Amino acid sequence: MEHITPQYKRGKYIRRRNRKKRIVILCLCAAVVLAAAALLFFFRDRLFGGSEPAPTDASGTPISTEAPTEEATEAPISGREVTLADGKLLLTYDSDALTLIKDAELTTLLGKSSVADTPRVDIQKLPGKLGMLRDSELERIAIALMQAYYYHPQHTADVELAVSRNDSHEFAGTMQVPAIDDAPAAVCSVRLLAVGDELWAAVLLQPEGTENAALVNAFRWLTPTEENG
Amino acid sequence: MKHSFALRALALLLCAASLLGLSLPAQAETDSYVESILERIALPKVMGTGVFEFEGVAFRRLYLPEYVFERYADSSFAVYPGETDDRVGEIKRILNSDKASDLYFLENELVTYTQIRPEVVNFFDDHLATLFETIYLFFGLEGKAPCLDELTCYLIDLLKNVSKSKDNLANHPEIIADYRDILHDMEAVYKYKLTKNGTQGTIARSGETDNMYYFAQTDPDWAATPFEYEHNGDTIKDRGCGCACASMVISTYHKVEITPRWMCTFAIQDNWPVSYGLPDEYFPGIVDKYYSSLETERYGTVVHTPKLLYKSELDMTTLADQIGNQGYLAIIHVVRGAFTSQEHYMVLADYKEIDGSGYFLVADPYVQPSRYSSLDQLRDTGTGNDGLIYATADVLYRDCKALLLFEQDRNDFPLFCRAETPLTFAAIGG
Repeated sequence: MEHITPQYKRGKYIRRRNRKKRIVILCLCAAVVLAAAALLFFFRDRLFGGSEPAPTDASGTPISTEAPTEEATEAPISGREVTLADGKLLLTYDSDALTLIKDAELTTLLGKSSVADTPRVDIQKLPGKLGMLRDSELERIAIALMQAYYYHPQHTADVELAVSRNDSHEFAGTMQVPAIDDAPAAVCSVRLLAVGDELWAAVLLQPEGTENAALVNAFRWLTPTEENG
Repeated sequence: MKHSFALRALALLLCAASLLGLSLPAQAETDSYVESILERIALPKVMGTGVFEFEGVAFRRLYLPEYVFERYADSSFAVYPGETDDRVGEIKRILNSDKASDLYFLENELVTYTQIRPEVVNFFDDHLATLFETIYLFFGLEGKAPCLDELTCYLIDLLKNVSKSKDNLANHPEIIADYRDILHDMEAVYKYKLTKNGTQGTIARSGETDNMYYFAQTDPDWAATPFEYEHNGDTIKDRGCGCACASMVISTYHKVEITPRWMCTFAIQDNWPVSYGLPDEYFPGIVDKYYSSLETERYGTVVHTPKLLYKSELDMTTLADQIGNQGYLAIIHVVRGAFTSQEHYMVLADYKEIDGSGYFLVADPYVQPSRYSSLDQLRDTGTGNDGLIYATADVLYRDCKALLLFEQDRNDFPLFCRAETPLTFAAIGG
């Protein structure tokens, strides 16, 4: 039987108390570290200009994340040029084939021979910055841009968005929208562009059977004219 | 050892709590950042139609972006028809226009006087359920079961902001001009639904629908209101049967609650009272002067001058057909007999066969069933409303002195659309 002196008992008590203190301190440290990690997780995009997962094209194949090439910035089409975003966004379109309409919210291109409001390209400035938006947020905005054309839009969860580009300059994707009520099936392409510090959105809406090459070109060659940071 | 385990658990709990506390505001900030972008997206709305059909009439929709509906997909609360909740009372007061403060919906009767009486104000009644269904219909939410949830509150808040109110009139007159017609369309569809499903009318103090516009002269809300003849100190309770009957009939045809107070005011103003109350001529007189086109602009309804028939001109079989099948209403002037010891007016609101015998549904504005005699000619309605009684044609004919016949279908409702374009609420935000 072990002989236990009062001094031994006291030392054991002190060691136990110290151990408890260390555990508490360790736990608090862990809490602080985890909290900091959580903060970093939620604000990483705001702090570091957004995550940049490998972008894919419509079929899911990875595509280049390099800045737009000369081919992309130099429109190979002739036509009237209109500058938007204080001259930082260049819209080039075939003025013989398309009509440009500008109002406070939208810059719209419509086919000249078309009596309907579609097919069309709409360009608008949105509040916010491309680099501050996560992928899911960019997708949500792209889908909302499509839904804005419909009285009875598809629910967000039902929309399939094929992302074709996702980098610090642009987020782009396409949606195949089925016929809804008396609205025909349509293809809706969206480009979210970083233009300087601004976010601009362009939408090409083409109901089935209304494809218009001039509109597609104008949409495709809508180009920021200076390097975006 | 046990103590140490507790400390560790406590530390872990603190850790988890700190994480949760940090992540919630961060997520909320993220959501609001994206929502601020979504709210600014232009709404070209060129695909599909902003028109929907109801009963063969094309109406224009009210439009909200999809993300708004999705924002409210999960509500933190929901109150259903038949339930009682303070939030129901708040919403009813906002939607009610018949109030001293007159805050919102000055041009619309969406929630009526009888729906906001203290006994029922917090009760989710059938009319409110029908109103919510109508609001959902205009916002393209057909099929949503009526309930008071976050989305419904949000929609009502939007409507409130574009309704005619003192503040909106002063600061946003253009909003009222834009939304006036579509609010009227919504109101008309709501009233039409009530009329066609047979639930139009007042809400009893029990919360049940009366399924007709019923006003009692004995109602404590106005029973003591003076209604004198040559300063005799009488009240609506004493001699207001004619006023109450006029209220019931004119309310039915115009689809709005017009309480006996108004009838009383006009009767005095035009000097109609006589020694026994009101003369038969009061009814065509007041209809022609004040009420024939009262709600024509709003609902397209009219009230035609009633036809005065004396007892000798009455054919009870024809009357039963007119009231039971053609939707006519009548006010019967009875003398001492089964219903009164003096003279009295009552409304003949319906006619039906019960156990092989025909009965008129009598809406008696004086609620005191104990005073009835000839009980073998009367029958309880089982509705819980003591002002309603079934009576045979024989007893009514026996006691009748005259009858005011309103030769028009009480269920007529000329539904039409006023709005010319669908409207969006995008600019108002949430």
